[in-house]
Amino acid sequence: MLRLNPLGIPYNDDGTARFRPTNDESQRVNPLSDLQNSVDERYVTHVFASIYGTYNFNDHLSYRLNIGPDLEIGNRGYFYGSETTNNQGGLSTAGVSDSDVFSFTIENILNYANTFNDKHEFSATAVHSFQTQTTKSSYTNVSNLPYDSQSYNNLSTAGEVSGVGSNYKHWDLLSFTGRLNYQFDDRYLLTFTARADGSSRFSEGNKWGFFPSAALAWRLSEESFFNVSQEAVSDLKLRVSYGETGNTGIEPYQTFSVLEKVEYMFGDSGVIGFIPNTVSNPNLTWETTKQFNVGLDFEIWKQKLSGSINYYVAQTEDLLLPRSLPSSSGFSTVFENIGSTENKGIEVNLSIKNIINTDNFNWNVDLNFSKNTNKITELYGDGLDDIGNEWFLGNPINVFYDYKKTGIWQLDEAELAESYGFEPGQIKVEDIDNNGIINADDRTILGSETPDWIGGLTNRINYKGFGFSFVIYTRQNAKTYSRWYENNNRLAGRYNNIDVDYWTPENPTNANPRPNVSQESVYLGSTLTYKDVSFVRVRNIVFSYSIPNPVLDRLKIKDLSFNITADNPFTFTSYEGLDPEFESDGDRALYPSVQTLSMGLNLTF
Amino acid sequence: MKKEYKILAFLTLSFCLFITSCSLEEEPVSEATPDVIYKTASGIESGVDGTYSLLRDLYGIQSGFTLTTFGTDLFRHGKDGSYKAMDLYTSELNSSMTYINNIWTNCYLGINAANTVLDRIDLVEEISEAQKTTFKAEVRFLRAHYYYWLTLQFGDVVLKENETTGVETDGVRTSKETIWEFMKTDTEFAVENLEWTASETGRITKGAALHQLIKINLLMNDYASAESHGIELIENGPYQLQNTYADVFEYDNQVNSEIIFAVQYGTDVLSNGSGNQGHLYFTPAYDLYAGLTRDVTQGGRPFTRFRPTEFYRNLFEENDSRFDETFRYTWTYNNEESLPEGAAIGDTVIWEAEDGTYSKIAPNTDLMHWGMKKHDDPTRASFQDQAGFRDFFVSRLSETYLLLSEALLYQGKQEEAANYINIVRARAAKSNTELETISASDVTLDFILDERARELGGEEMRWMDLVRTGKLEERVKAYNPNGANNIQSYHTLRPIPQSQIDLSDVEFPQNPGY
Repeated sequence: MLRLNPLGIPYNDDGTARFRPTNDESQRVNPLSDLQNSVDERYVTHVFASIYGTYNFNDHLSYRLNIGPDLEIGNRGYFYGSETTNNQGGLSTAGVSDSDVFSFTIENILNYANTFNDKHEFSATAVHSFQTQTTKSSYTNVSNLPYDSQSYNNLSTAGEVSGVGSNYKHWDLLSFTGRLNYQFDDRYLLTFTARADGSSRFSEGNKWGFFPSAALAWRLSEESFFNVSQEAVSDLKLRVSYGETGNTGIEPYQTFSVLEKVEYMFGDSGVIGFIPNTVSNPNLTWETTKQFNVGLDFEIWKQKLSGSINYYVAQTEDLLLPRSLPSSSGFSTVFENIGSTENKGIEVNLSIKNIINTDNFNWNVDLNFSKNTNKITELYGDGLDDIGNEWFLGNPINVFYDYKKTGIWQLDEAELAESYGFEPGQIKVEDIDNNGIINADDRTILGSETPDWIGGLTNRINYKGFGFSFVIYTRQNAKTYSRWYENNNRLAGRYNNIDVDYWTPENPTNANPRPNVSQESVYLGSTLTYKDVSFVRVRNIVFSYSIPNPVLDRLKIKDLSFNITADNPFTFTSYEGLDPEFESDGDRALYPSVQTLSMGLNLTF
Repeated sequence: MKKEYKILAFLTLSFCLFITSCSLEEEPVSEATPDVIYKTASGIESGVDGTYSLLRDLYGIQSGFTLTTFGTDLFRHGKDGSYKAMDLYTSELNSSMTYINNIWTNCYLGINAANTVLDRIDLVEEISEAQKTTFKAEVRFLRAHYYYWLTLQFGDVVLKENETTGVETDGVRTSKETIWEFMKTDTEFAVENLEWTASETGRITKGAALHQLIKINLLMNDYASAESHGIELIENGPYQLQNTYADVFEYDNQVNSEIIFAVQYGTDVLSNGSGNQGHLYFTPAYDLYAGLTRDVTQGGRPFTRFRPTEFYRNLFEENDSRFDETFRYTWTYNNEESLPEGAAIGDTVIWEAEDGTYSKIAPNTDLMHWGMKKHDDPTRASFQDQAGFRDFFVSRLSETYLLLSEALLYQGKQEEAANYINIVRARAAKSNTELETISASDVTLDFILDERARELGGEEMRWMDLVRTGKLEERVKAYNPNGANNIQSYHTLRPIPQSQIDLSDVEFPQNPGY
């Protein structure tokens, strides 16, 4: 909609929506026509009915059975009339699709718990669990409907069936888990877990993964040698853990080689053909993350300050990733267990209670901070980067790899520009290898989506009946590839464009290149779209007032309060698009967050 | 029920659930896997048909048109579209261009599809030997066809002779001469093992294979073989020129005696894929002018991509019927709402040229240029529909004559070459007129290229023909004002797609200059 020509005429003389608001028929059509002529409805029915049974053999040994059936039925029906963006004045289209997702979980849990000599608390758990999911779906698409009013409810009248299909998917996951808990005198807490998982998604011989873990917690504050007063330190706990976890999160049937159905015809008779689509990878197996954690929980200064500090190092091995392949192989991607990555980070949560505390006034603050660094530590064992997949050793897994814009070629650089095959007004990128040619060798790592750190601050202040609170959230040093910029900054002249500082001979800016009426998109335009999406955002502010009880008692009212809430009232950012938080690298920008101001009244009798 | 029974029932139930839940077998019920499909006769046939289907990703699709039409002596860019650099030969014509990657990828999909059939067909017992041979001949023809595109567009490419069965990242470039040898063997196999007529329209025949073999012979400078194959095709094949050039492109005459091989499209929507979209790209933005609106009978939907050059427009003699059958240069008013004063629906549109003169002949600018009638698809239900139904002619008998004359020319047999060219020219003359008969001294490579332009312009051949004959740079400099100043000799090869280079774990050299 942002690309619509603002000079268009939205309505006809009779007040109906004018399908093509400008005389350029290829221009965007009227969004009002889309609203009037299209229906796209989705319904989801979700039934989740878990049941369980328990049996206690004695005081210590118990058995529990969980059965969790889960059925999700989805229906979609759509209709697009002739005068819509989808059909551009052509034939109307409609269709229905259904999908059933049936999941089932069974858990058999055997639990034993006992305390010996009052100080040794011991428990053991054995779990057998089985999960399965079956997805069935089907669709019918048609075109050329004789009357629009049917929407998608009488598809058999359509002139053409343009597509039908059905699909089936199934996966199983079987697990056996054993857990031991031991606690001594509230001081030492020990947990051992051993878990074996079998996934149908891997082939025979690779289905099973074993994932042990161990955790130790030590409550220092309970030790007799801990000579600090209860007032100064009321709780101090040190935690250390090591654990392995597995990931099988891929679509079923990835170990098979699968053919793609294609169509062709000989004379007037259609035929179905098959061509190779995915290459089999029977070696697929579990992705494993080995994580080491050390943490400290504390509560100090008369319980005024409490919080936790957590440091972790996680090594993920055999990452399940789609790997692009050179097209000459006849295949485009394969799911593989690829290399290793390392995540290191620190998380801090602090809670300060009653900074100033009187009968009428109190002030609480919560703070959180987290920082994570991610890097690829190994790829194929040959010490080389995989440029095609944009995986670089020592760098995060989701980097942006492209040319680096250094400005715009200016008039006085015309000669140099020409030697590179450019002219003044075009985007200037860095000749990284300095060989006098701009080509693919001049791409470089421009940054990553992962922010340096994120943090949050929550404040709550109460004074008598008045309340004031606000939440601030920040994300620092994150980049994105902005589709929004890409789509709305083509500088071609045909569609509406965001208002940018563009180059002309009279305006020798280095921001954006010279507009060009004969381009559909800007050459090297991707270099304009890497944006810093760091921000500080006031998530919400709430003012409230509760009428004091004595007043209410007289009115026979239990509770009466007013509040004013502002959601997302302020955002501080250098990003010039719609919303730094919801800018995405996806096909479309996400829906920006909404600013609201609301007032409320609570009345309880 | 007693408590014990309840417990027993409960435990029994959970035990049953435990037992039934232990299978982790995966069966890809919904998926077609090679081990299921390629074990039967019908499966092998669908593998053969699948190999054909990838032709649609070359013929009748914008990427195929773009790589064969832009940057030639016959067409320059119109107002719209992203790939103008392929016409302008600027630095934007580089290894990241999507269409270059599309063509590369599609050819290798076709090659792998062919290899898969070839590697598996002998394992299927229920197919007769004769049928096996026919299937092999068809896919070997197609494999060579995909290599024809690859070697002409990119030069040395990866030679794949077998199905890819695992992750493969170490393909290297094989010299195009070696690959031509391979293509020749494949195509010869098709010539030897196929009949003049196939079981169904659109399948490869001996004739189609011979036609391809002539092109490969020409590539390999084996003019004697090209000549003998040309003569065999013309004299023994069941093909005949249509009476008029118009008949060749008559919409209701798509299967005619002149067509040796055509990529199949048709009105059955479920088998038509994205259709033949050739009708879109040559159509100018006529709908932006007063008294005109989009109309399937006047070019349909205007994509305004390819504008004929002045050189192309002036190639035709007065009596050449191909001029009128090729170009759309007049339009008629069809829009009551915006009719200019004094005009009526059905009148021929009067155009104002830049110099203020008026004419019934359309101007030829980037926005409003001449259109092409060859790809018209007037039976589409709506002018907006992109999927057309017209077969895409890949080889026609008239081209065989011109290829043969080329083979003769290179052997110094201008006299015979002239005779064959004159057959094509004789048919092209307007009724009751004649085109000038050419003589041996007229026959030059340039003349043949001009004749090919008149006969075959806009049919997805030109760029590769100019590369094949070594004339691309010279002719673009002479006749294409957009590319003239920028084209260099390295432009006779496309850049290798960057993804191929980046994803290879062996050195995969880029073509020089890029």
